[in-house]
Amino acid sequence: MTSTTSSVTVPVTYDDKSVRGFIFFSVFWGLIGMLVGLLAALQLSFPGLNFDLPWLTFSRIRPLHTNAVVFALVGNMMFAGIYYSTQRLLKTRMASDLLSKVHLWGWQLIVVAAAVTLPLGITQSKEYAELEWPIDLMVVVVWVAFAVNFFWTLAIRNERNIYVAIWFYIATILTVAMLYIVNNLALPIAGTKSYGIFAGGQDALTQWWYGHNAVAFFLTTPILGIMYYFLPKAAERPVYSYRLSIVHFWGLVFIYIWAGPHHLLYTALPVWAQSLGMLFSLMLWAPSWGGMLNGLLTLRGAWHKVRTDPVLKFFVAGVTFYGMSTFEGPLLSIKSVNALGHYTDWIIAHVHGGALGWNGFMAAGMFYWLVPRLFGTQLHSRGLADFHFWIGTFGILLYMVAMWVGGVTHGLMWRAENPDGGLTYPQWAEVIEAVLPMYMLRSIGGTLYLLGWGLMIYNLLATVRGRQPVAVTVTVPKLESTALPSSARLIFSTPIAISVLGCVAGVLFGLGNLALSTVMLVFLLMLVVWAGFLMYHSTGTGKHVWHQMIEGRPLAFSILTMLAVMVGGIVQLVPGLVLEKKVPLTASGEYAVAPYTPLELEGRDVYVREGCYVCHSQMIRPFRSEFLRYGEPSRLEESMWDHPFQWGSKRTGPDLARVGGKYGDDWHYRHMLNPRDLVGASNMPAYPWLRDAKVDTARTSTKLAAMRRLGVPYKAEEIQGAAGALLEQGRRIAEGLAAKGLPLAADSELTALIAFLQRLGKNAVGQN
Amino acid sequence: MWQKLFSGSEWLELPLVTLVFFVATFVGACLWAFARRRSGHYDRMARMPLQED
Ligand code: HEC
Repeated sequence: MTSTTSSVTVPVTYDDKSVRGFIFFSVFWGLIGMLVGLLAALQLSFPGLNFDLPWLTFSRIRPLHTNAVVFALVGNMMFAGIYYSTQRLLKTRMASDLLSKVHLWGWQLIVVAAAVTLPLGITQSKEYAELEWPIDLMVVVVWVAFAVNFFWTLAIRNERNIYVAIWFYIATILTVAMLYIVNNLALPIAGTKSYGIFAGGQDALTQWWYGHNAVAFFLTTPILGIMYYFLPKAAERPVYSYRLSIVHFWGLVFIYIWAGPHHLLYTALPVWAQSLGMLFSLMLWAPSWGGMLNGLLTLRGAWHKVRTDPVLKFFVAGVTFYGMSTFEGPLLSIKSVNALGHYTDWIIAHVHGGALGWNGFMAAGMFYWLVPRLFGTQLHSRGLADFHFWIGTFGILLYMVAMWVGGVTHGLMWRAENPDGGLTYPQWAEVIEAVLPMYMLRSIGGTLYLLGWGLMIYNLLATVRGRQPVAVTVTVPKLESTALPSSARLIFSTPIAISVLGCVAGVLFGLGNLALSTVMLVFLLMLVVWAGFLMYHSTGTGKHVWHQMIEGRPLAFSILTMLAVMVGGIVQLVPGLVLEKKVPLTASGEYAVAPYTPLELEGRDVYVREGCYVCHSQMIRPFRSEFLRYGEPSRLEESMWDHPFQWGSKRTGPDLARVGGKYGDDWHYRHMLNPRDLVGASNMPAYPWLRDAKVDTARTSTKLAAMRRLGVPYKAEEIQGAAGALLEQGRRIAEGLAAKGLPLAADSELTALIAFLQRLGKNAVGQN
Repeated sequence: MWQKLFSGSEWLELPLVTLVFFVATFVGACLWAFARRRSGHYDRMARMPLQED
């Protein structure tokens, strides 16, 4: 061992002020975020509820809802849990009060910035990565402050061994930093606008590597850490199996990162990446359920407490929802199931099982346990908390059942064919009408859940009313470092060596040719045997337990964790990023896919700003039914100049990848002003403001130039003449519309959007 | 890449071997996790959250 506990004791006063702050904001933003969600849900039944205001429109507030729930509700909740438990597990105060403050207030500033910019249409239009670059920079700064504070606290700890909850926090901090930075790499062209450096398929892969692992490392691992701390505390039982928690941790950390491509099954993504995503998603089931069982079995012998204690009720239900979601996730990754469920409300059911059931209930349980303790009192009303639990549970179930039924209905209707081989439901209006009752039920379910949240707010406020927060001071033995190990010894210690060799061998196994794979497989087997032998050999003989060796060394531990999460990312992302784009060339050596014209590019930016991707995909899957409805399956090169990609993940409306030429310009004009003029049952929002808004033509050439820096083959003269070309193309569209009695300016945003829509699916050089 | 590796290869056993390998790892991990062997260290670790604040 490298350090000993001396007989010297020190007083430690925990910083619970930050904990209280994070709880307050989690509860508050949670309320706002769910209210926005409810409004968005209602708009799918009553599209008029946006009152034709841009900033209240579904496609702008849905990102607000998801960001608020993920980053504001769950984010603040996780920070509260992390600050509270880390200090107690490490027996020390957070290292820097200043950094804690920067973290607390910086994060709220980010949330406010998001709440202002997203409704204004300032967005990158990549799911859960919508925030534009200045806010991304703020996120990085605040996250670094958090990380420094956390690791510094680890360094000054008074407890030698690091409890499993802390490992989950370490994994969260490191991985989220990596994911967030890579996925948000962008070239700014103005304070409120940037183009991501990746395009098309590469962007898709990077985005879902991020998006999936945001679920993994923002919504799952920190909450698991919280589970491993607060569940035993509330149940007054040690965790069921500590060894299982070790397996749970390493299993999750290693496998999760590979599963991203399951969001892209049947897309134009290379098949190997899809299969890898599916395989690892299925493997994820094992550690996830190991973790769930570990949580539930912690209550062995304490089940009677669940009946009376609302905290345990929330935890038990939360962990059960974790089990449900981690069963459903792998299920949806099976290609045949995915073919039915993808793009439908089934996915909405899935995420709400996770968000409301797992995250929301773990949050509620933690708040009910924590708030009374922070104020040295009892919970105001257990009965009310119980009531919250029951209407919350009922609300989630109603929500999920409605969305399951709605999703499967959609999936079946989209693919249904008549005996003569045509689509049974060619009209989208029929598809919408079939699920309208489900949308209503969903809104009711959500309202019940929200009501429960409101009861919790009242209950917590009544608990703390007229009370002073308590300051907790404990006296702990000081941990003194004796001989620090040399870094060399640390790096070459057996566990690290085994893990590094294992990861390298794993990558070589996947990348190499047959002979190399075989050698690596044999090598991996030998490694496992060796590790097993060491583990067996090193226990009981006075030596340290194998895992204990890295547990006491946060640095080594962090390196290993980073390594485990990087392997999957490298294997998946690097081949896609370094390989020369496989682009078909024309006979004259030009790219066969032409870049957008200046007007189309501006139109695309309108599409991105309005967030049409929340309801429309641009990715036709290779099924007969999709061929009948939309045309040829999408090909990878068709989106190769798309910064950002807009493949989408949800079809509330039809796919748009080949909508170009399907209708006349006048149809789009009328449709965008009020969809219900053309399709009575449509629940698409009206976008009347686009007609009067003008494209900023002074900025168009800057945009083209930025695109060229990112690799889009615009010629110098095209960049210079961008504004002129834009106006000319705009005039042609405007003249056509004027002939039909529809007045529109050549540089209207609507003109640009129409040009973009008419271009979709007509990418080949010379085709448009 | 994996697909390319295995398609057209005569070594169709390789995916099977891999499967066996992963299953073995899984079973090994389970055995280790649930072994009835006592270890003071893990018991101590498991009780860590229960210490008084
Ligand atoms: C709330 C979800 C929603 C949003 C947001 C949305 N749409 Fe739609 N969209 C629909 C639905 C539903 C339909 C099918 C009914 C109809 O034609 O109105 C549709 C149809 C369309 C069609 C016709 C497709 C076809 O093949 O018939 C186009 C084009 C279109 N939308 C463009 C857009 C654009 C551009 C935006 C963003 C400015 C947008 N939509 C935003 C739901 C949405």
